[in-house]
Amino acid sequence: MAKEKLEYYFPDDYPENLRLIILQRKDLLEKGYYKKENERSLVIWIILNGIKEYPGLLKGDIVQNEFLYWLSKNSSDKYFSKLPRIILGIWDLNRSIRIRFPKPNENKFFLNWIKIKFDFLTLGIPKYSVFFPRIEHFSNIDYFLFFLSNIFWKIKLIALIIWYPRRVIDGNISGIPVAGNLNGFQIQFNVIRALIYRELKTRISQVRFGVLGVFLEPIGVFIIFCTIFALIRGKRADIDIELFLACGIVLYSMFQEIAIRSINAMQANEALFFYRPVKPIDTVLARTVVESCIFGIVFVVLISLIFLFKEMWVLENFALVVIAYLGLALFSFGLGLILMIIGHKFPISRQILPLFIRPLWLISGVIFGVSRIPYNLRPFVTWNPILQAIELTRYSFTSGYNVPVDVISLSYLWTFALIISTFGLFIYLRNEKFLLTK
Amino acid sequence: MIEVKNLTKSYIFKGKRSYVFKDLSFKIERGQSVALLGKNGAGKSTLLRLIGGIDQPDRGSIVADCSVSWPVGLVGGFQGSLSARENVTFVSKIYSGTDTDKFEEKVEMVAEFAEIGTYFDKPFKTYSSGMAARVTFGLSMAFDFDVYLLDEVTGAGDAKFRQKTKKILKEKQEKSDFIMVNHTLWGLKFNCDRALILHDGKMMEFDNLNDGIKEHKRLMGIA
Repeated sequence: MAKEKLEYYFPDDYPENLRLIILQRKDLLEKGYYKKENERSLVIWIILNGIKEYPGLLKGDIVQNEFLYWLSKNSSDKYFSKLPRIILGIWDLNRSIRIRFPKPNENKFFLNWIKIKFDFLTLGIPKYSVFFPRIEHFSNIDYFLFFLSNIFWKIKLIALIIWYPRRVIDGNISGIPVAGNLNGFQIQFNVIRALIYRELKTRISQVRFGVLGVFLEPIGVFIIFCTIFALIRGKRADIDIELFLACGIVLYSMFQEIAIRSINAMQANEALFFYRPVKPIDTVLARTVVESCIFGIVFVVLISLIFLFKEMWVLENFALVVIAYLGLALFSFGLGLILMIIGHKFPISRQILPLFIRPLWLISGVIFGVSRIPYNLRPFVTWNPILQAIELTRYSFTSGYNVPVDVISLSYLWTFALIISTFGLFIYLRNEKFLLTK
Repeated sequence: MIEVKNLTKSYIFKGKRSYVFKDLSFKIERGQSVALLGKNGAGKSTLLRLIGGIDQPDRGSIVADCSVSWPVGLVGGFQGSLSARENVTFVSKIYSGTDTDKFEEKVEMVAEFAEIGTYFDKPFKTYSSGMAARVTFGLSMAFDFDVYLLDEVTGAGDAKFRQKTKKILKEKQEKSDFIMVNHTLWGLKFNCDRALILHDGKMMEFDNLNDGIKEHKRLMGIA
């Protein structure tokens, strides 16, 4: 009896252990899984059966395990060549995902969407971070837009919460404002513009050297710490130490200025509530705008100086810097609103609250990076959205900066900021009448 | 028309609640200027603040279908550390409506009216009461409100300022109404048609100003 000799030609990139498994099993060979065109069915088989039959198959990470590496690479399918094999397999398997994203190859948001859902799929496969440890599109503008579209109704709700009462209350009592019947947005715009004008006038007259004095304080702190770190401790960070410190100090100072100034926002602007369109929330809003602009300028000045005299940095992800900065500003606004109400309700807290805010300096990653913290201690610092914003800013300068992607994320920062600001707006609305009562 | 219904306002002082007034109801039609009379501490200024919407009542409602100014007076509304020019710019920006660049015009108008020279650019807390009155009154007159709330602002100032006040109030009265509080009473006689007297938390209404002033003097014990 002539021995039947079969030649199996695998595609080049098939890992060794996969070839062995297929060669050992007749049923797989019969299905033709060694052929390139059956790759999609092979991935489906792996997810459904392979993991159960060969428990050790997906152990380890992509550096050690060739098989994991193969799954995380782009598919050789001619229609879906942009998708990694594992994600295409999940898409093939899951009917609801197929209905939601009929053309995953063309939909920009699909990859970002699956990134979030990946770890919640009950397929028994390893976590997303195992397949994609360093994510290429860590957080780009697409991701931000996707995120916004997802929470769009929440933002609408927040907008409604802010504007609607203003229109109703103003319509009821004081009636029409001066120049005809303006809508809430026009009133809000005028008030914020006027408050920013006033805020800048007082801010500049408070310190010496006028406008320059406003910028001198954070720059002074920066120089002192540069001296301590660069001369005494020596360079130990993954990025230029001055850049490292500039991100931390500027972002933290912005938060602290907004938070601490908001506690006294009501008292400092007592005289201004004399004009009906000015509401307590406007003072916090104006302070947030003014402080975030001032520290934005400080940041640009500092990094430009570093560029000229020290390190020729390249900003790898401009969008991430802006989005993280705005996220932190939103968080500070929400917290400022809450602090203002507490400060008004319990006058004693005006002395106590700064005592709680200032120590945040030490745990907000101003002078350390998360990667320097031992793994088991990370949860104690990473809850902090200020630290998240600071680390994201550093990461956006160079992806060589070591950030543990499993604990630092843009969506955490923004979710935290939105929750805090929504909560702030909620308790503000409950207390607006109280705040305006003398 | 401004309609006040069941207005109640109280303050808590040292744990005790004291009422300024209880269940106050009255109505002011368009086209009438009203003098608000009463002894010191009767709650006139509080009432003006409530109508102006910068203070909140415990109970009751104030409904207005016209634009109401802030309570123009010697106290409040101006930041002491800023100059009159900066303060006026601030208010003009708020009330500038849709023409957001018109505020400079208003600032010049107020500066012209106030006639305080270089003091216009000095911190507001350095002003004498006469100068403060000139600026606050000038500022409120720079905008066209339907109803002005004037809290003793015409009482201060020298003869020239009074002359000016009289003139501008006469001009404004063609289109607008006033709710005035004034202890010197001269300003009221020129400008008001009706009188309301706040006494012991109650409101008395008089359709004739002279009757109101007579009653007011009787209550004060000076006539």
